[in-house]
Amino acid sequence: MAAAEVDRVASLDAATVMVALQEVEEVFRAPLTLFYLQNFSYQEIAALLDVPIGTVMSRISRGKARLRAFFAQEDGAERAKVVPLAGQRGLAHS
Amino acid sequence: MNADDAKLILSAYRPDPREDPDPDVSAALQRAKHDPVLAEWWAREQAWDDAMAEKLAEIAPPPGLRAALLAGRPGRRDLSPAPTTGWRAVVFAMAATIVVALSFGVARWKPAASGATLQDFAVNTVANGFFLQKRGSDVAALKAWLAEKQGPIPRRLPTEFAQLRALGCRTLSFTGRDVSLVCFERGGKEFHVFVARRDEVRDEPVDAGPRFSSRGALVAATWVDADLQYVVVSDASMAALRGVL
Repeated sequence: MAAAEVDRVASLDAATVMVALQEVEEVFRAPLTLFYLQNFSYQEIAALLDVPIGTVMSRISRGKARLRAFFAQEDGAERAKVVPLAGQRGLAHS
Repeated sequence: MNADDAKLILSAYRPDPREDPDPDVSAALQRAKHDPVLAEWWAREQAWDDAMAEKLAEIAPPPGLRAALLAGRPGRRDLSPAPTTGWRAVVFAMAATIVVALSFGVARWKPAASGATLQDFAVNTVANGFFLQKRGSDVAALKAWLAEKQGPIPRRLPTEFAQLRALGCRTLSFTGRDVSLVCFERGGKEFHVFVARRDEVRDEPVDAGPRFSSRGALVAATWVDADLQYVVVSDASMAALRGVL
């Protein structure tokens, strides 16, 4: 993983990260949600989801890969870019 | 344990003074101590995790949720496997609910665009920012997706649009009416095509030919055909917009 990926996440807004989390399949989303949003340890997640610790690790690892793939896709300019218009008002018809 | 095994384990591990790591994690940590490449990888992985957690922390989860999850789980103290699959289903549902609920929270932070006219709505939507619901460059597939969502279908786009690269599409609601949005790109500039059914949009009259306007960095063009009204909003120049219509 490149350091640029860390900067990439840091530069995103929370909404984009949330969308990425929603894009991940449910089987990965549940452990990722508990891992990132609720700060559960892998042991707690395993107990909560009733799956072996190894399964939790695998799902978190693969879920992260899905998130990175989503962000990479976003970098591919497939997401519409936000054009800020702060402070501008009214349409000037030509 | 090889480096790949260690990465798999460490990617899910967050140092926690409350708990002793299990033997596999201990072995992976031990390997990282003696493997500079692995140690460097894990440091970046932790930085990525921190960045993700920090970003998501901007969206406050419901207070007490963590405690509720733990308190409700049978056998929480020993962290042994839960005795019923029913509880697992509940946790999965709660995890999904957290994400959905927080997503609505994000939506509240960024209110839906409004406008007196379809053109105002379109410009405000682009200015506010939005997410595509369907991504892809196959325009036929995007139209099929819009049709499935009961959205207006942009049947006749200007011929020049065939030269643009489609990015994706989504549906929107303007004064309770369905609006379709298809986005294109060329040369780093985007062209967002909003389509509404004429008989559903109370709008100022527009001519068949495009009427151009601008607001700040955005330019827009509006026109109608037999039953649809179109608005294209772009961050390109007015000349570029005129060039695609």
